[in-house]
Amino acid sequence: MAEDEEEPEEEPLIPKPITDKVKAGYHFITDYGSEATRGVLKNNPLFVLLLGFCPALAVTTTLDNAIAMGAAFAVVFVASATLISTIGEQAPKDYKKILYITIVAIFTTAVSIIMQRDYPNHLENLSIYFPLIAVNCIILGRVQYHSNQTSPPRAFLDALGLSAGFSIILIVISSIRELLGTTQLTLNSEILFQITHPIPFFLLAPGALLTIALLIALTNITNTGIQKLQQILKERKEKKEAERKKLEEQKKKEEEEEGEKK
Amino acid sequence: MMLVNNIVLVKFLGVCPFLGISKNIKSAGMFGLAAAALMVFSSAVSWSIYHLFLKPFGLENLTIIIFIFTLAILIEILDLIMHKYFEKIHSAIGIYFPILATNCAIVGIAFLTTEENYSLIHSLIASAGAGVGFILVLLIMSSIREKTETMHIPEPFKGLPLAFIIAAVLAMALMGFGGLAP
Repeated sequence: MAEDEEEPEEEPLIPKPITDKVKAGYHFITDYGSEATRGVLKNNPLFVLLLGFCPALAVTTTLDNAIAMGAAFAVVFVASATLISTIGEQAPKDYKKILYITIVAIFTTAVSIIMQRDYPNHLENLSIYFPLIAVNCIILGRVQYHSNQTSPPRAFLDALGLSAGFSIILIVISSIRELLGTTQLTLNSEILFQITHPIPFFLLAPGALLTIALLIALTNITNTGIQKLQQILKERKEKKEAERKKLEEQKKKEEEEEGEKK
Repeated sequence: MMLVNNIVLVKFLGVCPFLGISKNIKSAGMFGLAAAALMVFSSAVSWSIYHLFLKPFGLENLTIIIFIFTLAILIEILDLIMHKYFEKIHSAIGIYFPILATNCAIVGIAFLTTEENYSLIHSLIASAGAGVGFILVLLIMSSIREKTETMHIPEPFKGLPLAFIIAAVLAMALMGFGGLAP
Protein backbone atom coordinates (compact mmCIF):
# COMPACT_ATOMS: atom_id res chain seq x y z
CA MET A 1 0.00 0.00 0.00
CA ALA A 2 2.82 2.34 0.92
CA GLU A 3 4.41 1.91 -2.45
CA ASP A 4 1.13 2.53 -4.19
CA GLU A 5 0.69 5.81 -2.38
CA GLU A 6 4.15 7.01 -3.16
CA GLU A 7 3.92 6.45 -6.86
CA PRO A 8 1.42 9.17 -7.77
CA GLU A 9 3.50 11.68 -5.82
CA GLU A 10 6.58 10.86 -7.78
CA GLU A 11 4.97 11.16 -11.16
CA PRO A 12 4.64 14.94 -11.30
CA LEU A 13 8.30 15.27 -10.30
CA ILE A 14 9.40 13.70 -13.56
CA PRO A 15 9.31 16.53 -16.06
CA LYS A 16 7.23 15.82 -19.13
CA PRO A 17 9.22 15.86 -22.35
CA ILE A 18 9.32 19.40 -23.67
CA THR A 19 8.21 18.36 -27.12
CA ASP A 20 4.87 17.22 -25.73
CA LYS A 21 4.25 20.56 -24.11
CA VAL A 22 5.24 22.38 -27.28
CA LYS A 23 2.99 20.12 -29.29
CA ALA A 24 0.05 20.76 -26.95
CA GLY A 25 0.69 24.50 -27.12
CA TYR A 26 0.95 24.35 -30.88
CA HIS A 27 -2.34 22.48 -31.10
CA PHE A 28 -3.93 25.02 -28.75
CA ILE A 29 -2.71 27.93 -30.85
CA THR A 30 -3.64 26.43 -34.22
CA ASP A 31 -7.01 25.28 -32.92
CA TYR A 32 -8.02 28.65 -31.53
CA GLY A 33 -6.18 30.47 -34.30
CA SER A 34 -8.16 28.70 -36.98
CA GLU A 35 -11.30 29.59 -35.05
CA ALA A 36 -10.35 33.24 -35.43
CA THR A 37 -8.84 33.28 -38.92
CA ARG A 38 -11.33 31.15 -40.79
CA GLY A 39 -13.80 34.03 -40.67
CA VAL A 40 -11.47 36.13 -42.78
CA LEU A 41 -10.83 33.86 -45.75
CA LYS A 42 -12.46 30.44 -45.57
CA ASN A 43 -15.78 31.57 -44.11
CA ASN A 44 -15.85 35.17 -45.24
CA PRO A 45 -19.35 36.38 -44.36
CA LEU A 46 -19.87 38.40 -47.52
CA PHE A 47 -18.22 36.42 -50.29
CA VAL A 48 -18.50 32.84 -49.03
CA LEU A 49 -21.49 32.74 -46.68
CA LEU A 50 -23.26 35.36 -48.82
CA LEU A 51 -24.84 37.22 -45.92
CA GLY A 52 -25.22 40.82 -44.87
CA PHE A 53 -25.05 42.68 -48.15
CA CYS A 54 -27.26 45.58 -47.06
CA PRO A 55 -24.58 47.52 -45.14
CA ALA A 56 -21.87 46.44 -47.56
CA LEU A 57 -23.70 48.16 -50.40
CA ALA A 58 -25.23 51.12 -48.62
CA VAL A 59 -22.53 52.45 -46.31
CA THR A 60 -19.47 52.04 -48.52
CA THR A 61 -19.46 55.47 -50.15
CA THR A 62 -16.55 56.73 -48.05
CA LEU A 63 -13.72 55.01 -46.20
CA ASP A 64 -14.60 56.71 -42.90
CA ASN A 65 -18.12 55.33 -43.03
CA ALA A 66 -16.89 51.82 -43.73
CA ILE A 67 -14.47 51.89 -40.82
CA ALA A 68 -17.12 53.22 -38.44
CA MET A 69 -19.57 50.57 -39.59
CA GLY A 70 -17.00 47.78 -39.30
CA ALA A 71 -15.98 48.84 -35.79
CA ALA A 72 -19.55 49.16 -34.51
CA PHE A 73 -20.44 45.84 -36.11
CA ALA A 74 -17.45 44.12 -34.51
CA VAL A 75 -18.25 45.43 -31.02
CA VAL A 76 -21.90 44.41 -31.21
CA PHE A 77 -21.13 41.01 -32.74
CA VAL A 78 -18.34 40.03 -30.33
CA ALA A 79 -20.24 41.16 -27.23
CA SER A 80 -23.51 39.45 -28.13
CA ALA A 81 -21.87 36.23 -29.37
CA THR A 82 -19.92 35.88 -26.13
CA LEU A 83 -22.96 36.58 -23.98
CA ILE A 84 -25.16 34.19 -25.92
CA SER A 85 -22.58 31.41 -25.76
CA THR A 86 -22.55 31.71 -21.97
CA ILE A 87 -26.32 31.29 -21.94
CA GLY A 88 -25.94 28.27 -24.20
CA GLU A 89 -28.55 25.59 -23.97
CA GLN A 90 -30.38 27.18 -21.04
CA ALA A 91 -32.33 29.45 -23.35
CA PRO A 92 -36.03 28.58 -23.56
CA LYS A 93 -36.64 26.83 -26.85
CA ASP A 94 -39.77 28.63 -28.04
CA TYR A 95 -38.54 32.14 -27.32
CA LYS A 96 -34.92 31.63 -28.37
CA LYS A 97 -35.10 33.86 -31.40
CA ILE A 98 -36.73 36.78 -29.60
CA LEU A 99 -34.24 36.47 -26.74
CA TYR A 100 -31.29 36.60 -29.16
CA ILE A 101 -32.73 39.53 -31.08
CA THR A 102 -33.25 41.41 -27.83
CA ILE A 103 -29.68 40.79 -26.68
CA VAL A 104 -28.24 41.99 -29.98
CA ALA A 105 -30.55 45.01 -29.94
CA ILE A 106 -29.45 45.91 -26.41
CA PHE A 107 -25.79 45.96 -27.46
CA THR A 108 -26.64 47.98 -30.57
CA THR A 109 -28.42 50.54 -28.43
CA ALA A 110 -25.46 50.72 -26.06
CA VAL A 111 -23.01 51.27 -28.92
CA SER A 112 -25.30 53.90 -30.44
CA ILE A 113 -25.40 55.82 -27.15
CA ILE A 114 -21.61 55.69 -26.87
CA MET A 115 -21.19 56.80 -30.48
CA GLN A 116 -23.64 59.64 -30.00
CA ARG A 117 -21.35 61.01 -27.29
CA ASP A 118 -17.97 60.44 -28.95
CA TYR A 119 -18.55 60.28 -32.70
CA PRO A 120 -21.87 61.99 -33.50
CA ASN A 121 -20.85 62.74 -37.10
CA HIS A 122 -20.16 59.11 -37.90
CA LEU A 123 -23.46 58.04 -36.39
CA GLU A 124 -25.29 60.60 -38.49
CA ASN A 125 -23.57 59.42 -41.67
CA LEU A 126 -24.56 55.83 -41.03
CA SER A 127 -28.20 57.02 -40.57
CA ILE A 128 -30.70 54.15 -40.67
CA TYR A 129 -28.07 51.52 -41.39
CA PHE A 130 -26.73 51.77 -37.86
CA PRO A 131 -29.88 50.43 -36.10
CA LEU A 132 -30.02 47.74 -38.76
CA ILE A 133 -26.88 46.17 -37.26
CA ALA A 134 -29.32 44.69 -34.74
CA VAL A 135 -31.08 42.65 -37.42
CA ASN A 136 -27.98 41.91 -39.48
CA CYS A 137 -28.16 38.45 -41.05
CA ILE A 138 -24.53 37.66 -40.20
CA ILE A 139 -24.95 38.30 -36.48
CA LEU A 140 -28.35 36.65 -36.09
CA GLY A 141 -27.45 33.65 -38.23
CA ARG A 142 -24.13 33.03 -36.52
CA VAL A 143 -25.62 33.51 -33.07
CA GLN A 144 -28.47 31.10 -33.72
CA TYR A 145 -26.56 28.31 -35.39
CA HIS A 146 -23.03 28.55 -33.99
CA SER A 147 -22.42 30.71 -30.93
CA ASN A 148 -25.03 29.08 -28.72
CA GLN A 149 -23.40 25.66 -29.20
CA THR A 150 -19.77 26.49 -28.42
CA SER A 151 -17.75 27.70 -25.46
CA PRO A 152 -17.42 31.46 -24.83
CA PRO A 153 -13.75 31.81 -25.89
CA ARG A 154 -14.45 30.02 -29.15
CA ALA A 155 -17.54 32.10 -29.83
CA PHE A 156 -15.52 35.23 -29.03
CA LEU A 157 -12.75 34.34 -31.49
CA ASP A 158 -15.19 33.24 -34.15
CA ALA A 159 -17.10 36.52 -33.92
CA LEU A 160 -13.83 38.44 -34.00
CA GLY A 161 -12.70 36.64 -37.15
CA LEU A 162 -16.00 37.06 -38.94
CA SER A 163 -16.22 40.75 -38.15
CA ALA A 164 -12.62 41.19 -39.31
CA GLY A 165 -13.51 39.55 -42.61
CA PHE A 166 -16.58 41.75 -42.90
CA SER A 167 -14.70 44.97 -42.12
CA ILE A 168 -11.83 44.18 -44.49
CA ILE A 169 -14.23 43.76 -47.38
CA LEU A 170 -16.14 46.92 -46.42
CA ILE A 171 -12.84 48.81 -46.43
CA VAL A 172 -11.83 47.39 -49.84
CA ILE A 173 -15.18 48.23 -51.44
CA SER A 174 -15.35 51.70 -49.92
CA SER A 175 -11.81 52.61 -50.90
CA ILE A 176 -12.47 51.57 -54.50
CA ARG A 177 -15.71 53.54 -54.61
CA GLU A 178 -14.36 56.65 -52.92
CA LEU A 179 -11.17 56.74 -54.98
CA LEU A 180 -12.93 56.31 -58.32
CA GLY A 181 -15.94 58.43 -57.41
CA THR A 182 -14.33 61.51 -55.88
CA THR A 183 -10.71 61.24 -57.17
CA GLN A 184 -9.27 61.11 -53.65
CA LEU A 185 -9.13 58.69 -50.77
CA THR A 186 -9.54 60.46 -47.44
CA LEU A 187 -9.18 59.20 -43.90
CA ASN A 188 -10.17 61.71 -41.19
CA SER A 189 -10.06 64.43 -43.88
CA GLU A 190 -6.43 63.58 -44.69
CA ILE A 191 -5.82 62.80 -48.34
CA LEU A 192 -4.14 59.42 -48.75
CA PHE A 193 -4.25 58.94 -52.48
CA GLN A 194 -5.31 60.89 -55.56
CA ILE A 195 -6.19 60.33 -59.20
CA THR A 196 -7.01 62.87 -61.91
CA HIS A 197 -10.43 62.05 -63.33
CA PRO A 198 -13.53 61.24 -61.25
CA ILE A 199 -16.13 58.63 -62.26
CA PRO A 200 -19.19 59.73 -60.22
CA PHE A 201 -20.97 56.55 -61.31
CA PHE A 202 -19.27 54.68 -58.49
CA LEU A 203 -20.82 56.84 -55.80
CA LEU A 204 -24.33 56.00 -57.01
CA ALA A 205 -26.32 52.85 -56.35
CA PRO A 206 -25.48 50.90 -59.55
CA GLY A 207 -21.79 51.54 -58.98
CA ALA A 208 -21.95 49.75 -55.64
CA LEU A 209 -23.69 46.74 -57.18
CA LEU A 210 -21.19 46.58 -60.04
CA THR A 211 -18.17 46.87 -57.73
CA ILE A 212 -19.39 43.99 -55.59
CA ALA A 213 -20.19 41.87 -58.64
CA LEU A 214 -16.68 42.35 -60.05
CA LEU A 215 -15.03 41.69 -56.67
CA ILE A 216 -16.93 38.41 -56.24
CA ALA A 217 -16.02 37.35 -59.77
CA LEU A 218 -12.38 38.20 -59.01
CA THR A 219 -12.39 36.08 -55.86
CA ASN A 220 -13.97 33.23 -57.83
CA ILE A 221 -11.19 33.45 -60.43
CA THR A 222 -8.44 33.49 -57.81
CA ASN A 223 -10.06 30.61 -55.92
CA THR A 224 -10.17 28.41 -59.00
CA GLY A 225 -6.60 29.46 -59.77
CA ILE A 226 -5.43 28.46 -56.30
CA GLN A 227 -7.22 25.14 -56.57
CA LYS A 228 -5.55 24.42 -59.92
CA LEU A 229 -2.16 25.35 -58.48
CA GLN A 230 -2.70 23.05 -55.51
CA GLN A 231 -3.66 20.22 -57.87
CA ILE A 232 -0.52 20.72 -59.96
CA LEU A 233 1.66 20.75 -56.84
CA LYS A 234 -0.04 17.57 -55.59
CA GLU A 235 0.53 15.79 -58.88
CA ARG A 236 4.19 16.79 -58.83
CA LYS A 237 4.62 15.50 -55.30
CA GLU A 238 3.00 12.19 -56.20
CA LYS A 239 5.26 11.85 -59.23
CA LYS A 240 8.36 12.51 -57.17
CA GLU A 241 7.33 9.99 -54.53
CA ALA A 242 6.63 7.39 -57.17
CA GLU A 243 10.11 7.94 -58.65
CA ARG A 244 11.68 7.66 -55.22
CA LYS A 245 9.88 4.39 -54.55
CA LYS A 246 11.04 3.02 -57.88
CA LEU A 247 14.63 3.95 -57.08
CA GLU A 248 14.41 2.29 -53.65
CA GLU A 249 13.00 -0.88 -55.14
CA GLN A 250 15.77 -0.95 -57.72
CA LYS A 251 18.38 -0.56 -55.00
CA LYS A 252 16.83 -3.35 -52.96
CA LYS A 253 16.77 -5.63 -55.99
CA GLU A 254 20.41 -4.89 -56.73
CA GLU A 255 21.38 -5.60 -53.12
CA GLU A 256 19.48 -8.88 -53.19
CA GLU A 257 21.15 -9.86 -56.44
CA GLU A 258 24.55 -9.05 -54.98
CA GLY A 259 23.71 -11.11 -51.88
CA GLU A 260 22.69 -14.05 -54.06
CA LYS A 261 25.94 -13.82 -56.05
CA LYS A 262 28.00 -13.93 -52.89
CA MET B 1 -40.59 55.73 -52.83
CA MET B 2 -41.75 53.14 -55.30
CA LEU B 3 -39.53 54.01 -58.23
CA VAL B 4 -37.23 56.91 -57.37
CA ASN B 5 -36.05 55.67 -53.99
CA ASN B 6 -36.56 52.00 -54.64
CA ILE B 7 -36.07 50.19 -51.38
CA VAL B 8 -33.90 47.40 -52.77
CA LEU B 9 -31.85 49.01 -55.49
CA VAL B 10 -31.33 52.51 -54.12
CA LYS B 11 -31.75 52.17 -50.35
CA PHE B 12 -30.25 48.66 -50.32
CA LEU B 13 -32.67 47.23 -47.81
CA GLY B 14 -33.65 43.59 -48.14
CA VAL B 15 -30.87 42.63 -50.53
CA CYS B 16 -30.44 39.15 -49.02
CA PRO B 17 -33.96 37.85 -49.83
CA PHE B 18 -33.79 39.76 -53.09
CA LEU B 19 -30.85 37.57 -54.15
CA GLY B 20 -31.88 34.43 -52.33
CA ILE B 21 -35.49 34.08 -53.37
CA SER B 22 -35.51 35.54 -56.86
CA LYS B 23 -34.92 32.23 -58.62
CA ASN B 24 -38.49 31.58 -59.74
CA ILE B 25 -41.34 33.97 -60.37
CA LYS B 26 -44.11 32.43 -58.28
CA SER B 27 -42.31 32.23 -54.96
CA ALA B 28 -40.82 35.66 -55.60
CA GLY B 29 -44.29 37.16 -56.07
CA MET B 30 -45.65 35.55 -52.92
CA PHE B 31 -42.61 36.61 -50.93
CA GLY B 32 -42.95 40.17 -52.21
CA LEU B 33 -46.62 40.24 -51.23
CA ALA B 34 -45.84 39.08 -47.69
CA ALA B 35 -43.02 41.59 -47.39
CA ALA B 36 -45.19 44.47 -48.64
CA ALA B 37 -47.96 43.63 -46.17
CA LEU B 38 -45.47 43.51 -43.32
CA MET B 39 -43.89 46.80 -44.40
CA VAL B 40 -47.19 48.64 -44.06
CA PHE B 41 -47.82 46.87 -40.75
CA SER B 42 -44.38 47.72 -39.38
CA SER B 43 -44.56 51.38 -40.38
CA ALA B 44 -47.94 51.71 -38.65
CA VAL B 45 -46.63 50.00 -35.51
CA SER B 46 -43.42 52.01 -35.43
CA TRP B 47 -45.26 55.32 -35.93
CA SER B 48 -47.62 54.62 -33.06
CA ILE B 49 -44.82 53.45 -30.76
CA TYR B 50 -42.59 56.41 -31.54
CA HIS B 51 -45.15 59.20 -31.42
CA LEU B 52 -47.46 57.90 -28.72
CA PHE B 53 -44.97 56.29 -26.37
CA LEU B 54 -41.32 57.13 -26.93
CA LYS B 55 -41.55 60.83 -27.73
CA PRO B 56 -43.84 61.96 -24.88
CA PHE B 57 -41.64 60.16 -22.38
CA GLY B 58 -38.34 61.32 -23.90
CA LEU B 59 -37.05 57.82 -24.56
CA GLU B 60 -35.66 58.37 -28.07
CA ASN B 61 -32.41 56.68 -27.09
CA LEU B 62 -34.17 53.37 -26.69
CA THR B 63 -35.74 53.47 -30.15
CA ILE B 64 -33.61 50.64 -31.54
CA ILE B 65 -34.28 48.02 -28.91
CA ILE B 66 -37.97 48.79 -28.46
CA PHE B 67 -38.71 48.84 -32.20
CA ILE B 68 -36.96 45.58 -32.86
CA PHE B 69 -38.37 43.81 -29.84
CA THR B 70 -41.98 44.83 -30.47
CA LEU B 71 -41.76 44.15 -34.20
CA ALA B 72 -40.37 40.66 -33.62
CA ILE B 73 -43.08 39.84 -31.09
CA LEU B 74 -45.94 41.37 -33.06
CA ILE B 75 -44.98 39.58 -36.26
CA GLU B 76 -44.83 36.31 -34.35
CA ILE B 77 -48.31 37.00 -32.95
CA LEU B 78 -49.61 37.97 -36.39
CA ASP B 79 -48.26 34.70 -37.71
CA LEU B 80 -50.11 32.74 -35.00
CA ILE B 81 -53.39 34.61 -35.58
CA MET B 82 -53.21 34.07 -39.32
CA HIS B 83 -52.40 30.42 -38.78
CA LYS B 84 -55.57 30.01 -36.77
CA TYR B 85 -58.15 32.13 -38.59
CA PHE B 86 -56.95 32.68 -42.15
CA GLU B 87 -55.52 29.33 -43.10
CA LYS B 88 -55.61 30.01 -46.84
CA ILE B 89 -53.71 33.29 -46.75
CA HIS B 90 -51.30 31.83 -44.24
CA SER B 91 -50.39 28.87 -46.41
CA ALA B 92 -49.68 31.23 -49.31
CA ILE B 93 -47.69 34.06 -47.73
CA GLY B 94 -47.54 33.30 -44.00
CA ILE B 95 -44.69 30.80 -44.35
CA TYR B 96 -42.33 33.69 -45.03
CA PHE B 97 -43.27 35.62 -41.88
CA PRO B 98 -40.69 34.08 -39.54
CA ILE B 99 -37.89 34.92 -42.00
CA LEU B 100 -39.27 38.39 -42.58
CA ALA B 101 -39.50 39.27 -38.88
CA THR B 102 -35.79 40.06 -38.82
CA ASN B 103 -35.51 41.33 -42.36
CA CYS B 104 -33.66 44.56 -43.11
CA ALA B 105 -36.45 45.86 -45.33
CA ILE B 106 -39.23 45.45 -42.77
CA VAL B 107 -37.25 46.84 -39.85
CA GLY B 108 -35.54 49.39 -42.07
CA ILE B 109 -38.80 50.96 -43.21
CA ALA B 110 -39.74 51.53 -39.58
CA PHE B 111 -36.53 53.47 -38.96
CA LEU B 112 -36.76 55.24 -42.31
CA THR B 113 -40.22 56.65 -41.66
CA THR B 114 -39.38 57.76 -38.13
CA GLU B 115 -36.13 59.37 -39.25
CA GLU B 116 -37.92 61.37 -41.94
CA ASN B 117 -40.52 62.41 -39.35
CA TYR B 118 -43.50 61.49 -41.54
CA SER B 119 -47.09 61.80 -40.38
CA LEU B 120 -49.09 58.60 -39.96
CA ILE B 121 -50.81 58.74 -43.36
CA HIS B 122 -47.63 59.82 -45.09
CA SER B 123 -45.66 56.95 -43.59
CA LEU B 124 -48.39 54.45 -44.50
CA ILE B 125 -48.40 55.63 -48.11
CA ALA B 126 -44.61 55.65 -48.25
CA SER B 127 -44.34 52.12 -46.91
CA ALA B 128 -47.03 50.87 -49.29
CA GLY B 129 -45.08 52.44 -52.15
CA ALA B 130 -41.91 50.81 -50.92
CA GLY B 131 -43.70 47.46 -50.77
CA VAL B 132 -44.97 47.81 -54.34
CA GLY B 133 -41.48 48.77 -55.45
CA PHE B 134 -40.10 45.69 -53.70
CA ILE B 135 -42.60 43.39 -55.47
CA LEU B 136 -41.88 45.05 -58.81
CA VAL B 137 -38.12 44.66 -58.59
CA LEU B 138 -38.42 41.12 -57.26
CA LEU B 139 -40.63 40.10 -60.20
CA ILE B 140 -38.39 41.70 -62.83
CA MET B 141 -35.30 40.19 -61.25
CA SER B 142 -36.76 36.69 -60.96
CA SER B 143 -38.00 36.65 -64.55
CA ILE B 144 -34.57 37.72 -65.81
CA ARG B 145 -32.81 35.16 -63.65
CA GLU B 146 -35.06 32.36 -64.86
CA LYS B 147 -33.93 33.12 -68.40
CA THR B 148 -30.24 33.33 -67.57
CA GLU B 149 -30.25 29.80 -66.19
CA THR B 150 -30.17 28.31 -69.69
CA MET B 151 -27.54 30.68 -71.05
CA HIS B 152 -23.82 30.29 -71.43
CA ILE B 153 -22.12 32.43 -68.82
CA PRO B 154 -18.38 32.71 -68.13
CA GLU B 155 -17.54 30.38 -65.26
CA PRO B 156 -16.48 32.94 -62.59
CA PHE B 157 -19.59 35.06 -63.19
CA LYS B 158 -22.09 32.25 -62.59
CA GLY B 159 -24.60 32.74 -59.80
CA LEU B 160 -24.14 35.69 -57.55
CA PRO B 161 -21.92 38.05 -59.59
CA LEU B 162 -24.35 37.82 -62.50
CA ALA B 163 -27.25 38.59 -60.17
CA PHE B 164 -25.41 41.67 -58.94
CA ILE B 165 -24.70 42.84 -62.49
CA ILE B 166 -28.38 42.42 -63.41
CA ALA B 167 -29.27 44.40 -60.30
CA ALA B 168 -26.81 47.14 -61.30
CA VAL B 169 -28.38 47.46 -64.74
CA LEU B 170 -31.85 47.55 -63.15
CA ALA B 171 -30.71 50.26 -60.76
CA MET B 172 -29.40 52.28 -63.69
CA ALA B 173 -32.76 51.90 -65.41
CA LEU B 174 -34.56 53.07 -62.26
CA MET B 175 -32.34 56.15 -62.13
CA GLY B 176 -34.18 57.30 -65.23
CA PHE B 177 -37.20 57.97 -63.00
CA GLY B 178 -35.19 60.47 -60.97
CA GLY B 179 -37.05 63.38 -62.55
CA LEU B 180 -40.28 62.23 -60.92
CA ALA B 181 -39.07 63.20 -57.45
CA PRO B 182 -40.64 66.40 -56.11
